[in-house]
Amino acid sequence: MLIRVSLLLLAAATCEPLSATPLSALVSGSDAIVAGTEVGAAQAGNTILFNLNVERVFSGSVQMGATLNVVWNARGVVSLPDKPSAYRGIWFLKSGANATWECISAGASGNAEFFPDLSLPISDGSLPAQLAYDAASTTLTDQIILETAAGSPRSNSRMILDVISGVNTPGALRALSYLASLTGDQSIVGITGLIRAGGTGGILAAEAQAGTLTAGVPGADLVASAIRFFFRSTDPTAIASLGRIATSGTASPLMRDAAATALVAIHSAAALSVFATLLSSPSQASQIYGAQGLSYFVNGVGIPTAETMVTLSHLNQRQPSAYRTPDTDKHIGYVPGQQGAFINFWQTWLAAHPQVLSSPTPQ
Amino acid sequence: MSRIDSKSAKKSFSFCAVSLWSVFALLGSNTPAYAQCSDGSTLHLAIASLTRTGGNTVTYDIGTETTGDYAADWQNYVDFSESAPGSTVMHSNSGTWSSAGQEVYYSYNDQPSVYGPGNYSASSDHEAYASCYGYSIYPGNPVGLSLAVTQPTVTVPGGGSGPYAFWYLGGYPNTDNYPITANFTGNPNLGTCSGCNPVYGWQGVDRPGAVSFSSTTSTSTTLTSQTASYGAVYDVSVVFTVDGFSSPEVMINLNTPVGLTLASSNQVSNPAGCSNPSVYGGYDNQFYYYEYDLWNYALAPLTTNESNDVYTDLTTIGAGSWHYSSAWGDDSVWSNYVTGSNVYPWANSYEFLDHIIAYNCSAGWTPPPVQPAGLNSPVQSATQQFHAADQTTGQGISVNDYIQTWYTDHGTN
Repeated sequence: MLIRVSLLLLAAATCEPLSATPLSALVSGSDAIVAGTEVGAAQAGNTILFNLNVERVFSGSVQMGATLNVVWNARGVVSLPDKPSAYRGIWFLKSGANATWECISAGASGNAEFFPDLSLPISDGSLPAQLAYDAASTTLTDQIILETAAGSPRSNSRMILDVISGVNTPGALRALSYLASLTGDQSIVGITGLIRAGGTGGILAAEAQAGTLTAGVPGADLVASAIRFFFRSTDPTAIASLGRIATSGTASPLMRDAAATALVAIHSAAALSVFATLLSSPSQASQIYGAQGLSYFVNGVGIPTAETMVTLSHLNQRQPSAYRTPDTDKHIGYVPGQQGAFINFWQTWLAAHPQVLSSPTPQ
Repeated sequence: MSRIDSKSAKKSFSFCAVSLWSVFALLGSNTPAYAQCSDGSTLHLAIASLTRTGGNTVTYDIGTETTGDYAADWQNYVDFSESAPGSTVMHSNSGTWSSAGQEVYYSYNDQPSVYGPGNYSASSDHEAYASCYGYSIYPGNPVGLSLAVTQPTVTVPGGGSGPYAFWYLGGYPNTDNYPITANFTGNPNLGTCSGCNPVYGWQGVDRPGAVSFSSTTSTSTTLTSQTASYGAVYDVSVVFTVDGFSSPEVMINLNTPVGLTLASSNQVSNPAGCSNPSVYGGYDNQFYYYEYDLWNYALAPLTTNESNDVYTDLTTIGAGSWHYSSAWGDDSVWSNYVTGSNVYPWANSYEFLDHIIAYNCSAGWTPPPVQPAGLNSPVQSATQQFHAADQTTGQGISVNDYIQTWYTDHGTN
């Protein structure tokens, strides 16, 4: 009981999201976007008031050097942090009453927003050459991304991934490439972001670390899940890289599994030789990957994306296939417990149709 | 040569005026006048028609007839053969003579559901013979007929005839645009059909109760999923029927969310603004989950709720270090931290984010947080149940149950 009171412990396994507000929504929803430092924060209930000293203005009718009165109305429980220093970053502001500005949380939404995530990090000095840009020819979104990539990571260094989720602009790719070239978690974040954006460079970078990205290594699961879920490019260079990972004796099981899963989803002609290798593997798990990938290719199954997962159009709108028959249609997938029959069908099919490896496309 | 109206010549038949497969060979009375077996009224008629008279009926009429004043002096003859697609002979006759003054006539109805779609064909020879002067007339010989019978088909949404997949969401309605229904269109493909009044139908074949139909009597219907497929297979099938003649089976997969699992985790040692880098303020273990379907693909954002049913205080913490009160496990207190809906916003296209947090910024946290791999000193646990496709806590498709645990230095699920 003593501890309960004195430590003011706060525990939460909340359903709250901390999912980032998409950057495009942040930009379009802001009346002003500025770089600056907050000072004098004070809490009143779930509202926090602070002053913001503006040092740069990205957009909006705000004077550089001005001090703004800012209010943050948290949507859920909030506590002003024990913070020894003021936060400096890029702030997204909406014009409010009585010459105040309302702060839009940059890195969080829902019912558990955290004060440090109100703004995006920004570089302490000038941008490194890899991130330098010409403001006249660079979109506002890209400017923000490039500036943020140069900032020192905060406690949640991976927040940028969700902030720029779905943004595949040149600026975003430059920022991610820069992060990938660093070390530690920043490198993981950069590689993951590139993979999510469909960049072959991200896959090649992951391949270079495929042996060390093992389960339990911080960030390995992040890279692996990016490959599993997001990477759907049919670039032959990327397919070859995924094939090497999937069949490598040195890649971690986590990475092999992720690469094989992605190849099955993509199942392009360039992946057929990998499927043949997997089908002849002694591992049933590998054989299933091989059978699935070959099945999906032969039957003209589409590539699943976040959009097609809703309508299942990847299953319904078949692609041209020179090898699809009513019989192959009946062996597209398997019922749990019947993996053996599924594998056997496609092993037999491949033995009977070896030409699919050399002439995979409709003539 | 004279002509007669076909209906007056053979009133017992109903002929399609535009039928390409009906042939009536008419022959005038050009027989010798001295025999008095014929005059201007004498007509010799080859009857031969191969028509679609129903969705599941092909009718073959065949015969020979003589009409007019001297019809009683004539015997009529026919031989014929009718074949199904694939050249299977369905009906044949090597030759039949009628009595004098009688017609010779046959009629057959056959079902494409038995013989299949494709090209039906028939051939025949016809003869009329007058014994009074030993003379034969051969009206229209030889007669060859063909009829293409197309099987009914089904058009699925987006075109094509399947296979087709849509969702089963545990009996919950369309959510987040995930369709649990599909509009199918039946194509009777009757072509030219004489006097047809087809009866349409829809029915399940494999796992017939797996889908329901908004209509089973019209050419279009809306299927609604009633259960899920057994796996990544098209184990449900339906057909469209026309008078019992079925379309090919449309194979269907009824996809469903089947599980939820961890994609990645992230440990933040200074959560909630505990920003002093020299003091670990606690931990915020972030868990990115994804849901997957029967095909083992990650789902796009789908409404998912969480329910926490049972909190358990674990007593392995030594007295004097942490006393773990029921306050943490009290739902009424807990609700302070879970305000509003328990529905998860998704962090990105495939994942949503959950946290296990414990922090105390002002006093710091001992021991220092670590990555969620150890098993140091569990403090509290709670069941955690996730349900997809509904906003109401505890309702929807159960996709996973976890037991989440707060340890002194990290959280796990």
